[in-house]
Amino acid sequence: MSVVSEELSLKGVIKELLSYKSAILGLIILAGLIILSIYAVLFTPFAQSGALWNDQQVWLKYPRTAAPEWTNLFSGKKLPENIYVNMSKPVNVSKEGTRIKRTYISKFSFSYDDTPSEIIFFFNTSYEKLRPKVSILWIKPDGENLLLGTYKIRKGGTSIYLSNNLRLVSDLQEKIEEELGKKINKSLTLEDILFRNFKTGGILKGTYTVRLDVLVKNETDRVEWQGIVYGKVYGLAGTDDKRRPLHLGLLWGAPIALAFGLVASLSITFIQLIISAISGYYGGKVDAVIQRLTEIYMILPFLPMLVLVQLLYGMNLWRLLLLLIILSIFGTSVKTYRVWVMQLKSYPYVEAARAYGASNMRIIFLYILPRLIPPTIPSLVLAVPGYVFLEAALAFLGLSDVNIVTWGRIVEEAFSEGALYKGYYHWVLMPSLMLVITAISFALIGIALDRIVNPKLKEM
Amino acid sequence: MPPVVKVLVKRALILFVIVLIATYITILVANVGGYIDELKKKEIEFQVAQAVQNNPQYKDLSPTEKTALIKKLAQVEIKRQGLDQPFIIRSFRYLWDAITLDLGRAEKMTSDSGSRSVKVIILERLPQTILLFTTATVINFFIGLFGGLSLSRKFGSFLDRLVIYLSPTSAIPGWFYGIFLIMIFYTWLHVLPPGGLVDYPPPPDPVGYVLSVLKHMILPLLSWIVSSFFIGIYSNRTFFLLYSTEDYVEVAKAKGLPPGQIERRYILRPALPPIITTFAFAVVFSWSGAIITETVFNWPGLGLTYYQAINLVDVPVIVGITVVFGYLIAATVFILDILYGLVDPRIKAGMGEAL
Repeated sequence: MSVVSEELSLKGVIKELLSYKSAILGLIILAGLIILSIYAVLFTPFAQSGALWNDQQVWLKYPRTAAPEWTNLFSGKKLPENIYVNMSKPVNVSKEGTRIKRTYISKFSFSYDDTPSEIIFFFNTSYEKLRPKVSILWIKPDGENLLLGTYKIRKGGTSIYLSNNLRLVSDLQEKIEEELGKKINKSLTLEDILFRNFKTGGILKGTYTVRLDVLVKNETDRVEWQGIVYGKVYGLAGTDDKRRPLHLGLLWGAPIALAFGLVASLSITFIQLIISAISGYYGGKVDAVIQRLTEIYMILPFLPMLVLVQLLYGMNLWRLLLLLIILSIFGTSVKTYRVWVMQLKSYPYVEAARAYGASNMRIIFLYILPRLIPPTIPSLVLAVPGYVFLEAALAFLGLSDVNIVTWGRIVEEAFSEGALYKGYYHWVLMPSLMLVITAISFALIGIALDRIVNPKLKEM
Repeated sequence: MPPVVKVLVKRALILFVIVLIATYITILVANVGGYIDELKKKEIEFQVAQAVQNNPQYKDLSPTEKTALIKKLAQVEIKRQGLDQPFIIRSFRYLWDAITLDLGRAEKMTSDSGSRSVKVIILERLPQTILLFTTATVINFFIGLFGGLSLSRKFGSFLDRLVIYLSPTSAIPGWFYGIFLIMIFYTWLHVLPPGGLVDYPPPPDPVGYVLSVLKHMILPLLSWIVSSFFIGIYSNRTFFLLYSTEDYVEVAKAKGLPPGQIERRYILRPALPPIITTFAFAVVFSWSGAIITETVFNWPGLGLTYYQAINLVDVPVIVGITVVFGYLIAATVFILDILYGLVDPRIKAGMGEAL
């Protein structure tokens, strides 16, 4: 295809772009992604996103592998959300032997169609001599009382994972079997025991009561607590197996994906253009060297080289970007662009410039390059998704930068933790959706631009 | 020597030099961290230690004497192999080793037959990669070619517009579709295996074995077909439409030639060289794509081996596969040159200049 002959003004291109419905859709999606990115950078702790994402302590109060909340709208079964059982003023303070007993009562209502995923009690204490003792009593809506154990609480922040306490669970199951007068053949989970009606097997809906008796030695000993009944749905995008809310990861991944794809595509295209302009304009030995270089580049196995360097020198997104640019600047497009330059070289206005004594650099940068830019814009836009997916592909191979959160990294974590086989679809689908809509938006705009810039295509 | 052979020999030589340079770059990249040196020294120490342990002559030595002896012998061996020489000299020896496919021993990986030789590991996995990705590229090529041709006849129809509208779906790479295909056909419908080469245990009879391999190929193939389906048809269609507006096509139409003949002689024939180029680049691209697709589908080819080598940081295997990829790409480019010579009369006539 030859270089476009008529001048294209930016204004004209944009005006024409808006006459394509597909391009408008692409622009709307892109605008949305840009707004999301700006929001992520300005209004969330974006600079610390990598550190936060890797710190498991930060996400303790989120449910594990919860589906997005909106999935409740589409399924007949209403899955539970997180329920916080908070401390209020003690209902009763009494003396028990040499100790002081504080009694707390908290109530919550439960009307979901499935059991919660976990139950954890968090404590924050300070005391002088003896460890405080806490006993937890669970009262179901039908009035059944279950003692969930008595615990001595260490100083500072502690959590009691009731769901992992196998001893407690089997003791409770025995007690239930005694009451029912028959054996239950499968081993129940704590959530089954606490939230099901054993006569019918269904979920027991209604008001649950939690009673905590806290025994302390001194008046000044402080015990703060919170119980969390973890849900099975959370937020806009759910959570992963390390309890991290995915919507944050998706938000933090947006600016990185856009910046990476755009910077890679822009810089590679412009460097390729400059190289082709030099190659085509000067000809001779310079041309020969550059052409041989493109042939060497063609043989260099691109992805293996990227992987090799990332592996040997450590993963870093910005080094990856630099490497990607270095490995692409002598790409095959150089050959195409060079042919265009050679055509332009013989145009009268270039001849005229040479006649009045313009320097070679002036001719290349002011007379040839500006004419080459419009026809390369579509391929520039169309190349962006490729770079975004390249980062995802490297992340998929386990070569992701641990200091940042990218969509590819989330997909990789989901895949390697077996989300596909365990049925945590949201964990794969949400980051994939982001990648897909980003790719589609650039493709929609790029294809429309292609038709505008190459008028021959427009008739077709 | 006929000119065609002369040109091809010249071309093969140029390609070989290019492979040499590309391999040398790989070695430089891999060696800046000093990995290959460390590796070679470790290998020598290992071999010397084994030789000393197995030699009855040294049976009565105390452990400290033995260690000292091993150290001394290893130093001698390191010197003998020239590892104390400056890097520039050694780098050329590594280049020779790589080019002659003397790829050394893997650090951690073994082939299925239990060998530690990088060459054996690679040769064991290479056929699977070629099988899967050549099949995928050939299928995609023909879908694009015939789809494009038939669509260029129905220019402006509903089907034509549909393909244009759906062409952005190809911005998503094959491996990514693979994840969804596994989700649909394995996790949800339970009709196809999620990955691997054959069922376990492999069927004993050859027919059953081939059928099982074919069954495992469906999803990886499908992922690549879905990914390039619309863009393949769309770009070929546009391409044929561009060619069909040429003046000589108008002349042929004016002469009253049947449409089939116009298509074959005046549209398809001149469009063939660029189509073949596209095909060759698709093949080259597929070698690189193999790494990630084979990882997704657990397909035991070179790409998956590469991925495993990355996870184990087995540098000899990584460098070896990189070199083999280089050779594969060079071979593809060479075949492309031959095909070009066959289909493009301008090249056949002016042999040399056009190359």
